[in-house]
Amino acid sequence: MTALVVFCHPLSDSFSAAVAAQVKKTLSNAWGEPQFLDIYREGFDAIETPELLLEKHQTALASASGLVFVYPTWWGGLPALLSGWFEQLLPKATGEGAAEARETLTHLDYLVVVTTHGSSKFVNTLQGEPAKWFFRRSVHRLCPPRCAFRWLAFYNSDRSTDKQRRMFLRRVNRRLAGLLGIITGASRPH
Amino acid sequence: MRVLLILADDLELTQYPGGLRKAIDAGLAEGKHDVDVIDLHTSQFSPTMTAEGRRNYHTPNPLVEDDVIGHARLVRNAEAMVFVYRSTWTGLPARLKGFLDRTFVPSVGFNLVDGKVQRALTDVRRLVIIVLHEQGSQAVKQSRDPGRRILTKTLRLIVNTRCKLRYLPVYDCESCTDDAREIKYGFLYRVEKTLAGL
Repeated sequence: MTALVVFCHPLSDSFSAAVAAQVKKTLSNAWGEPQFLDIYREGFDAIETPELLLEKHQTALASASGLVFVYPTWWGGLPALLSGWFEQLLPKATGEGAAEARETLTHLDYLVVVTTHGSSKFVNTLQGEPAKWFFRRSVHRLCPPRCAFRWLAFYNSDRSTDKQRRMFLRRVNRRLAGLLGIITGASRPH
Repeated sequence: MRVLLILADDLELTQYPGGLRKAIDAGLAEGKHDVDVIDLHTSQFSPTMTAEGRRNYHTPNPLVEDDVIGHARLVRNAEAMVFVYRSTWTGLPARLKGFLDRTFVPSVGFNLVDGKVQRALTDVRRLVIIVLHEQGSQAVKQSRDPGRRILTKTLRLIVNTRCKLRYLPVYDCESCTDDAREIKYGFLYRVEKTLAGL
């Protein structure tokens, strides 16, 4: 049972980094240290990544039983680097190549996306939540049927207060621990 | 009209042997437009938002890198924008997404007043999106086409309120030849006429 956390943000003192730290902590409490891929600081390249690094990420992805993404939503979608990550790790995820991608993700029990939006929920609804649809319709469909999906979004971060941010961290902790409880059969935390 | 043509992919790689590029150029020439071209593939544009770029994002001067400053000047100058790309399964290819991330920052694409977005590209009155999908139309529809949502719905929020938008897709772009596509969609003809009549 190893979880894989994929974190994508250029700054290590950002709110996203705090969220990633919280995710790491919650997962550690439940199952022990997750694998943590900080794709900015590992030197991942959005277009062409060195073979060796790509292989490392592929191994991590294929052995993961849970997948958690932590990233900021920019322009309604994934940051370009995370887009590039998907394009390189699961290059043929559509059409005939889908079987290959399914094979890679066959161990997944859960897929969790934790993201921060600068704009409000209303603006994101106008934008059609492209990233949410991408995870729901494209990524989650490649996962096995038992795989759970959770979407944890923090809206309006440009105007958020300290209290709201702390509450979001608590919500991430609660939702993630609850999900892990369901999967492992342990009781739900209060 | 001052047109900004944004080419996100190596179009030679697809089974369009120059046909699409020729149609675009012919259309733009017919309409006698001033054309600026941003070729993200040929210029090897780096799509990754840098730490420095992000740190300056919310400051009064968010443009710190040379390549982005050049692009921002062209974007501010544009009256019409034409996006040409080949969709990947994440929607937009990483290069085009990175172009949006890095170039359409506060003061270029929009202004943030009290955390609320205000339109900044009010000169832009036409958006044309030309996209080559590898998948069929049903598969794209089922995936909810995230790339289309970003380029149409999201860009709608920052360009002129009366901006006209044309979305010109080709589905199954790998499996059929130029002629078959022409018969099925009249695609190149539509591209040429749309761009001529901007």
